[in-house]
Amino acid sequence: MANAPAPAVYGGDEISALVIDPGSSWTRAGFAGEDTPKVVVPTFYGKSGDRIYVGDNDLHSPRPGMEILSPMSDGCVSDWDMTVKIWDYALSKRLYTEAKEHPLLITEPSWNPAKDREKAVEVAFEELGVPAFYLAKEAVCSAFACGKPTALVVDVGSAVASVTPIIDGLVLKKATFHSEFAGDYINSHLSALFKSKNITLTPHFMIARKMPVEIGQPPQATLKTFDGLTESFLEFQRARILNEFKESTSGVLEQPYNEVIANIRPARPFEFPDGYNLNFGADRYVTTEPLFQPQAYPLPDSTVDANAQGITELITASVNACDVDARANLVNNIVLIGGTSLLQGFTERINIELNQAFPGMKIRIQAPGNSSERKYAGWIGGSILASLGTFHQMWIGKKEFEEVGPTVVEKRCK
Amino acid sequence: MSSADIRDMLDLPSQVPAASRPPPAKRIKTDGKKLDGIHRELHNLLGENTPPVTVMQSKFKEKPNWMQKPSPWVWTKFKNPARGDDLELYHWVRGAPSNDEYPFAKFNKPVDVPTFSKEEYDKCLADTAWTSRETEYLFDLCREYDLRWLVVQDRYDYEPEENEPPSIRTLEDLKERYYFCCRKLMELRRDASGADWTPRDLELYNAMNFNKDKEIMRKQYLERLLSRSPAEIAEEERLILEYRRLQESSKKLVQDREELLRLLESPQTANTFAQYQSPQGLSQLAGNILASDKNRRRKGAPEAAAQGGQVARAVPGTPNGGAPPQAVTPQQAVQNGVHGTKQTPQPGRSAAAQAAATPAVSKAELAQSVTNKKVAKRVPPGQENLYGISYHDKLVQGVYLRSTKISTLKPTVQTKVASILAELGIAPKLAMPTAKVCDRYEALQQAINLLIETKKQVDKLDHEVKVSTSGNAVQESDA
Repeated sequence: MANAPAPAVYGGDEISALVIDPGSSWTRAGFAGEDTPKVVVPTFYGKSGDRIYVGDNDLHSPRPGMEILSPMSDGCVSDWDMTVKIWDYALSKRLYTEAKEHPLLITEPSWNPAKDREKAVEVAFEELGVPAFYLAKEAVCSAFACGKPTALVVDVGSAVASVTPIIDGLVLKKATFHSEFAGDYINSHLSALFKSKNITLTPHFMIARKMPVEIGQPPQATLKTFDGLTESFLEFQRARILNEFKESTSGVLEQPYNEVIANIRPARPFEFPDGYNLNFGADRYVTTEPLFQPQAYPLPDSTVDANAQGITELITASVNACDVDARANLVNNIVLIGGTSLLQGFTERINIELNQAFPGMKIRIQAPGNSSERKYAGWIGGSILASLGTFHQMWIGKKEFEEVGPTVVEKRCK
Repeated sequence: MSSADIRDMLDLPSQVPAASRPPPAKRIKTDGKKLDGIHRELHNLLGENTPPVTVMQSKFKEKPNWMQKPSPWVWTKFKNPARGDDLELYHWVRGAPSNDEYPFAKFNKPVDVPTFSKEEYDKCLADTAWTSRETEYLFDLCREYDLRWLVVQDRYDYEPEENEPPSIRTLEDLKERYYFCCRKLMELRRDASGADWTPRDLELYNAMNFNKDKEIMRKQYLERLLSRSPAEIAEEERLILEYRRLQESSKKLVQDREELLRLLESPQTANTFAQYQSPQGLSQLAGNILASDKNRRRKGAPEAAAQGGQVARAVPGTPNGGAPPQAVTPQQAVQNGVHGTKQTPQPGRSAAAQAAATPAVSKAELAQSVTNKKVAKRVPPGQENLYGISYHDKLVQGVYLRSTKISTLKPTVQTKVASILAELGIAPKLAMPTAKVCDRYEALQQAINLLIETKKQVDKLDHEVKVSTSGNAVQESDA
């Protein structure tokens, strides 16, 4: 039995808190003090009449008339009833624990409106019945996960790409920017690409049997038939194929997209669920380019707002919005996280573009090499925070909430 | 044999009482512990030294003691005194729960931000640009964010009342206001208490002297520094390198110049002539000259030629000083005579020597006659070659090859010279090293050396000209 580490060195004091990090596509939950979330559930719910389905198993089962919906918009919770259902599912059905017994830390995006923050406190105390609660900024947690109190957090997730400057663990709100040009936006580009190539995306669950075919040959698969599946469910299932494609095949060129250079790169094969397979060359790169140049690469038949900014422009804008004294420090402590940042070549591209944008400053990007640290940085930081001895004075207690009301969150969770 | 034994033999009484005699040498004790793998004799040789460290490796991990009682950990509740409320949280504690204060509470350290009353505000903090409400708002923010100015400015969102002007505050405005108020409050409170400043207070007071204009200017400079274009940065680096190079070369130039000046400057007579006015002084001078002359000869002819003038100048100085002609000692006269004969090819020197020698009286005649004899024996000029005669200042003993006497240059220079010689089609080794050939060869070598030196200087100057013109061009293009 090892002795407890000296508090002065480690600074930890476990109070067995729970941490939930709700993202646009995944909600992570687990116990504070652990290094990865124990439970990762999709932030979606299925709705069929009055019945609500949450959790992987139910969401992916083909049910007639079940719509798949998201309770999130713009990175913030918009449908609280459903969000509580997902949280409750994660805690009681997957973590087998009672929220009543544990303090709860929840992360929020830096641009979360005050009304939603108050709602979060209400939900936590009144519906989940937690003894103590804290609402931490996701970007601050991500910076803590990389061991930095001062950082420029670049989070490219599924629905939102955001840039947040953090000074001593506090967000600079006026210099925080976010855009929609993230993972889901690439998905739309990919489906447009497949459409233009006349490739039909058949989700996995519809395949009964398939035969191997040569590259470019029509698929030979037997399909199952389902009745009454909703378009949103099919869309949800197709998104899984697109995610798979992104993870295995997509990449980012180290320089602004150039067809000649993209064609030099070796092509990569991708096999669709129905067995159809194809080599992808320049298409691997052109579909990710909207992350950096949204205006130059709009979706077919649509235009992009003239003020739209790619991720590098967001970073530049954010740095320039900060006081000049802080800039050098921020640029030297860039933390790159989020699932979409795992795209091959993404870090190099950002590094090169930032070096061009700030030639006089020393740029250093810290991007965790471990993919789970990249995807769950917000949760890991929350886990660190909630197990620190010095943090326990920050919790909003139940009694405090009853005395002050939900506005206590503005005072406490800065 | 000790002194005690000698005393014993000579029947002297022993001085030292027996008790204070040094005890017989101790036998080296060995501890009884038997060491594995070392013979006892070998071990004894180690003496009292500690044996070298042997690494003992146990083969397996120690067996865990399953029967041991587990250390007791208790799930216990605690209160954090750093909190305002009495929220109770639970954590695991080893052993029995104690009533000690929560160990992390001591880290709760707020920053000391002063507060002020209405009277204090009216008395000294009033400002047309600020209202008391806004000042208080600022102080609250400072307290809340522990004077992290960047955050304070970020969260500064003051909603002015209806009759107030809208406030747009920069970071410098906020800092200036805060530090101004703090200083005023310190002054006010000191005046009220009548006590003197403590050094700590004074230091704090001076530290809070915030110069807004300077700060704004500093930030502007910083901004300019950070927003340099890559071309500007490259240019700057180039200039810095150039500057370093120039500095280096100017240092070298100064050194060279100093050396040159030292060489050019004739040795000055630092002392007055007065000391040479007495007979003793003169004889001493003559001795010095003789000695230095000998040294010079040993060093080699060219140097002597260069310094000949010095002697010539120094010697006539003496008669001018008013010393009687008799004062020239015979020794000096002889010496002068020798000069005259041996150094005939150096007219300046010999003339001077002669001038000095002429006043010398009968005692110097001996030397004079020797010179005359040598001159008489001399072959008429221009006919030396005919007879194969040559004159030498000094002959080296023994036989040697003439080619070995050709002076060598520094290795680096030598290679350059050699390459130029090769260009001219002259072999580095002379095929026929007659005296004449050797002389010419040496002269050629010297000339080449001079040429190389000159070329180097020209290149250097050329480069400097180029640099300064390019610098001018850049400046002009900037302008």
